[in-house]
Amino acid sequence: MITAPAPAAPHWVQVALSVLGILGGGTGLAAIAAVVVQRGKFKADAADTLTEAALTLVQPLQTRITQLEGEALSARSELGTLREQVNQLQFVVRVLTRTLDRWRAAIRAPDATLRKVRATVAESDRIPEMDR
Amino acid sequence: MRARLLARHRPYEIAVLVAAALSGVLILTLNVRPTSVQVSMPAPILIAWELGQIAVGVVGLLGILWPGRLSTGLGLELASVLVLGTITGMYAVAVLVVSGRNSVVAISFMMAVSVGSFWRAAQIVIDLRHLARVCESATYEQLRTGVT
Repeated sequence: MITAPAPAAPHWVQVALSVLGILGGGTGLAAIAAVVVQRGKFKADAADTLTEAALTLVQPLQTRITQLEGEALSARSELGTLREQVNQLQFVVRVLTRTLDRWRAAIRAPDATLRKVRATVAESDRIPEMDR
Repeated sequence: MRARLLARHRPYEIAVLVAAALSGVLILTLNVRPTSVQVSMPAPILIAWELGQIAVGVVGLLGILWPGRLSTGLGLELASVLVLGTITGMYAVAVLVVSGRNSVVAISFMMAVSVGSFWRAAQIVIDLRHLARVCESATYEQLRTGVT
């Protein structure tokens, strides 16, 4: 089955490889033996469920998720407030533009007099739209 | 489920273990051996080396896919990678001695597998320590509420 070793390999290699192999095989067997002996050290249910590695991985992620959810909520409510403010400002801009147009028209009118302009300005003071 | 989850992240390890088992079976069935190994190992060691490949593959895959306790699976895997590192290291030394610098590529890859195996073995030892400590200190409920 196994032919006689050719003379190419020096003797020390055979010895070294034998030692290496016996050492490696021995530690392997020892590992199996250790696991068999130390089985009691590992509670079945806990060991079945997870390793500490899984725990340390999951916990920071959970905190991070909670944190991000909170941030998303506050960002959403802030967005709502800002949208409301923008709406109000748009309304004010519209009203002001209209007032400005009216005044300009009153000033540019061919028959414009100081009294008429004053009346127009006084009138727009009372425009109820602005009382917001 | 858990075993599949764990296995999915170790493609290299699984591929190497499958390759080891296949290689061992092929060596025995085809009755072919690399010359370098043949000339540099005494007969009993050579036989152990061949059978070891099959054992490593089978035990390693068994450990990775172990359906029972995680610690048992890790222990089997530990034994498997220890022997795998030894087997590949022995092959690398044999090739190095017999073929010298002509086989830089083969030696590099074999040494990489060997180093990786021992690396994984160290990881498993650390994991088992942690696992033992967690099992001592925490109850099942604590562990479960930590996750869900």
